[in-house]
Amino acid sequence: MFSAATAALRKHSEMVNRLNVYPVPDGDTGTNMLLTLERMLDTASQVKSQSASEVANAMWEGALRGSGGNSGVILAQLFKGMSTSFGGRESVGPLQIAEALTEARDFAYSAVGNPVEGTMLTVMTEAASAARDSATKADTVLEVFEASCIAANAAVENTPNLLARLREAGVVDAGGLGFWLVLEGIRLHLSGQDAALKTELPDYIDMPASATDLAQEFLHSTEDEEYGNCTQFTLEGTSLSLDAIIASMNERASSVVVMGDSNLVKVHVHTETPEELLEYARTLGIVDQVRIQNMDGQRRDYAESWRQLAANADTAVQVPIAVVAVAWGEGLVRIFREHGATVLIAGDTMNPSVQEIADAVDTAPSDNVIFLPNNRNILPAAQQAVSISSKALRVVPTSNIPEGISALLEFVQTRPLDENVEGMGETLSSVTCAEVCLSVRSVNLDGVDAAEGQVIGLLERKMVVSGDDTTSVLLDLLEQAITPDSELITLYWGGPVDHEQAGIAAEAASNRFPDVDIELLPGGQPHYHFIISIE
Amino acid sequence: MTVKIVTDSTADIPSELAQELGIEVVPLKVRFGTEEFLDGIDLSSEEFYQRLVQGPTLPTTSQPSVGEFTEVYQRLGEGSDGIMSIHVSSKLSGTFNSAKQASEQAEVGCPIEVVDTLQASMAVGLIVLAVARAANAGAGMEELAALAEDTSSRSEFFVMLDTLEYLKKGGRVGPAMALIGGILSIKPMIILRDGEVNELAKERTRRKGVARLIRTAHEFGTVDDIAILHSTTPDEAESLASNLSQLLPEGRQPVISRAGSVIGTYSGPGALGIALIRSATT
Repeated sequence: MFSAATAALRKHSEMVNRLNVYPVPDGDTGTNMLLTLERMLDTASQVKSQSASEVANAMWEGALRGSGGNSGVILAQLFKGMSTSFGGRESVGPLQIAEALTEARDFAYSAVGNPVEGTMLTVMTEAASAARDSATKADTVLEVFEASCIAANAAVENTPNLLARLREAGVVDAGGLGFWLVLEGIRLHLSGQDAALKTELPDYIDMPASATDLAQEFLHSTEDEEYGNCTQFTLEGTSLSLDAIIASMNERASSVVVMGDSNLVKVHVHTETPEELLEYARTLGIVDQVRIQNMDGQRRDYAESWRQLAANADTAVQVPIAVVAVAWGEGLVRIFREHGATVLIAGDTMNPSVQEIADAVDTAPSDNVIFLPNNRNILPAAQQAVSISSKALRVVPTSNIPEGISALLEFVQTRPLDENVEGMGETLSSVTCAEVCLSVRSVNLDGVDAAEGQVIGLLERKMVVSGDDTTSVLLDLLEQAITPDSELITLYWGGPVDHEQAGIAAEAASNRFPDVDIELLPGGQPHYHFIISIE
Repeated sequence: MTVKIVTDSTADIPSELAQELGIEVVPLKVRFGTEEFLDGIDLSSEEFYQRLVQGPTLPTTSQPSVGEFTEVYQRLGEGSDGIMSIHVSSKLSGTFNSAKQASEQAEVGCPIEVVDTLQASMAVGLIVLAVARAANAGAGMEELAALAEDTSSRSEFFVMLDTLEYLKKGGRVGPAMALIGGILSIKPMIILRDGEVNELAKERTRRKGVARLIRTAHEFGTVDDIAILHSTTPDEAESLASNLSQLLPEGRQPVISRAGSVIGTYSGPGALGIALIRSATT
């Protein structure tokens, strides 16, 4: 039943990723939810018992450990709801399903620090409520799922009416859609259909048909192979043949996703030789919007961080308190290490799961550990990790790198754990975070227009400027971010910006704002031209 | 006054104040290469900090010899009821040991009490000032020894540095001090604990550092006395002093002192600190 849910989500998870409302490339909602389910299935498959409550327990355990990101953690609550309401039972009926959905909804609200309507939470509320209504008169579990699917679907469609941010971006909530897909997969399975084939997106989500079919193929292929360069580009031409492009790409690269029409095609592939591939693509049409991302580098970093963590556990001298911080990008990682943190390389587009956080905490050289998520999306998983960690684990809720560095600098090894946590928490308000990156979709947010591929400036995650030139976007962004109290601006450069470009931008900033110190440091982060700390 | 008060130049007591209270200051030595200077006597502060920053080599320091202390004790001992010799932490300098040995071998007709304050700079200075005032008011050796011990136990000293480099090169970084990497610019903040340099905090800007100094001073509750120490920023010291004067009884101002060349060798330029004596809790 839940493998059907997973199949349904897998089929469309790329779509769910793409619906992320923020115009920055952290579209990982679908991936987070999928990983949660896959881990859940893994754990559940090892349970020999046929008892519903025992299986549900194992599912909850697995989902929790596998969950990453907000959406993953919320989805995991579904299994907590099941494990609670199936308590002690061998089999379950309509009432228990309705109760499980209700419990799950309640757990989800309490798992989220600041519940917002128009999100996955609203969809869960509606699904649970419909399930309760139908359960009293339903004869089968299928009927309950049918009712909750209809309600969830309507709720997803309604999310833009509840949340301005979705409305402005012209999308429905990604997590909500993901939750509906899970229910839909179960419903299809119970009615005897193959969820992997039959799950279709609601028609209010407009998307070229070919894309959804290909997304499935894409996800299957990336499961085994995430190496090479993730290469994306658009191809313009007349009478382009999607089938021919797919076939020719498949000969030359892996993980091929091609979508579009005869005039404009978007291509996503993994290849070891992106330049050769682009060379070939230019024979098919006009190549534009090229984005190449080295995944070997990402994977290597990731693998390397785990090797270091493991080495740490064996050799590191035990300290009274250890700090574990999530970071990404060579320069940023170095800064965290230099100030004594054990670094879990993840973040940005690769959120660690609850289990991975707990593992990293386990390897830290102390029984008292302070964890810095440094990303809003990692915070929920970090908070869940507290409950499964065998150590005294505290989370300081840092939501970005500048906050993380501020908090880490406040850490004093000789101070008691809780005093440290309190002091570190107090620093968060003393630093402002701004970012410069590319918009991955055309949007109008908070009254600012940005076309896909334009440079945008975010102040505390809110888009405040857009433009075509990195330096002028940076200056406009700083203009809004700097207050009379600002003393120091630290610019961590990375993404597509090189050292020289970063130097030019920093010099321009220092000419424009002579009263503020500007410090330019290599961050090495992917995607973001600049991560900026203002204090 | 029948009990004489001796300290060393690392106490950073402004010279007029030392003269006024009749405090004998034994100088340590600072060497730039082969040139040797007596701290606070042969080399002006201006010249010292200029050399510190611009010179090709960093200075080294050395404690007064046993003989130098012996000479001072013998000179002061004549006709006195006793000598209180109050010094910088024995974990940071050999000065206390020199003084201790001298007190054992000097042929003086009065008792000598050598005190290890486990403090440095104006924190030692404030202890010395309290003991000197009591001595001038006629207190005897026993009372003064108890006062020195008591004020030492209530003394605090914390400093914002511009860089940890000077402290590190001088080998005065305590074992509990965290490593500070060189990538980010940081204002390290230190505090003396059990006679050693410990970490208080790290701040990224001076303004935050000053705010932390003030906050830390307030955390110690009511105080008997305060001193502000700076190495090259007198204006900052002035404004910090006026900010903290509210902690003192009305009409009193914190003592402002400039770090001499020995303390300056380890603090470097741009250091700003607070020494204080907490009020006795009743």
